[in-house]
Amino acid sequence: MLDAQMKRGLLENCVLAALARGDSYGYQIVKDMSSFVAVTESTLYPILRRLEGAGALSVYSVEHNGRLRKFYHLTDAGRRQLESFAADWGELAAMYDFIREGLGHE
Amino acid sequence: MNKQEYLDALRRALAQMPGEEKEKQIAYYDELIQDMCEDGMSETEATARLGDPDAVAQELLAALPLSTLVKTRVRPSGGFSPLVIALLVLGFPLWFPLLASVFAVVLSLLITLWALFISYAAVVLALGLCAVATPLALVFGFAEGSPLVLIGLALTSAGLCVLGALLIPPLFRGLAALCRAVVRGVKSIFIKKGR
Repeated sequence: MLDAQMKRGLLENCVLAALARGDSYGYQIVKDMSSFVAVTESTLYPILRRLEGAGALSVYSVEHNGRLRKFYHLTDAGRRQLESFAADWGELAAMYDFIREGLGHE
Repeated sequence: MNKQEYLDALRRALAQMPGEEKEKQIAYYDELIQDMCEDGMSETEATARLGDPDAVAQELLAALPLSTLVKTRVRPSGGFSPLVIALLVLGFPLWFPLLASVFAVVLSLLITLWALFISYAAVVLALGLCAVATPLALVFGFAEGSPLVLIGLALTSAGLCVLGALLIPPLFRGLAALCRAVVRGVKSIFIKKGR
């Protein structure tokens, strides 16, 4: 089982990465992510709120079929967070390799 | 369940959430259901995919910070009646010390457990120091008494130190898990359970 804290951090960065490809809205983000990550609509919302609160993304509304649709936009701060995560990832990947190798020697 | 029924159920289950925050969440689910419908689902299929509104609400409430939960729990959105306010104010000398002492007791129990853990670790460390220092003292000639007894003591300390050290990681993990459980427990007091 993946540690909850760790999983939340990873999911946050997955959401940032989904938005790095371009602005998007709730349902589209879930659809884009779901082929790679198991994420539900209800797990996504608190993540979006937290990222918005942290200034990593901004929100704007666009009219669509006579209703408003909320779009999420990756801010410069969000992009920096994603970049620093990707840079730190090298370290995590090395740990992962080490773990896999350890299992191989069992 | 159609969209309106689902959103109403969600609104009821989120009763204790602050108004503005609640409306934002409802709007989010409203938009999701409409997007799913545009994607070819029926409203019933869309709401079924989102899952039980009570379960969704529990998840959303649990994601709120503790401070927000306490605030909304203590100040319901409907507001207090004057009678309740009067009782709360008059009863303050009674309920406040009681509440404060319950929290203080829980906190002090946790601190005591950690203090016990730290003393235990200190004893283990002291045994380790004995095991190292006694042979050194013998070599440099500070030690008084029979060398054989001293070496015996050093070996005993070393053995106890190793045995004791083995227990430190599981004890630490257990205590940490207990602290997390207490924080979760305190948090859950402020989340209303579904009917």
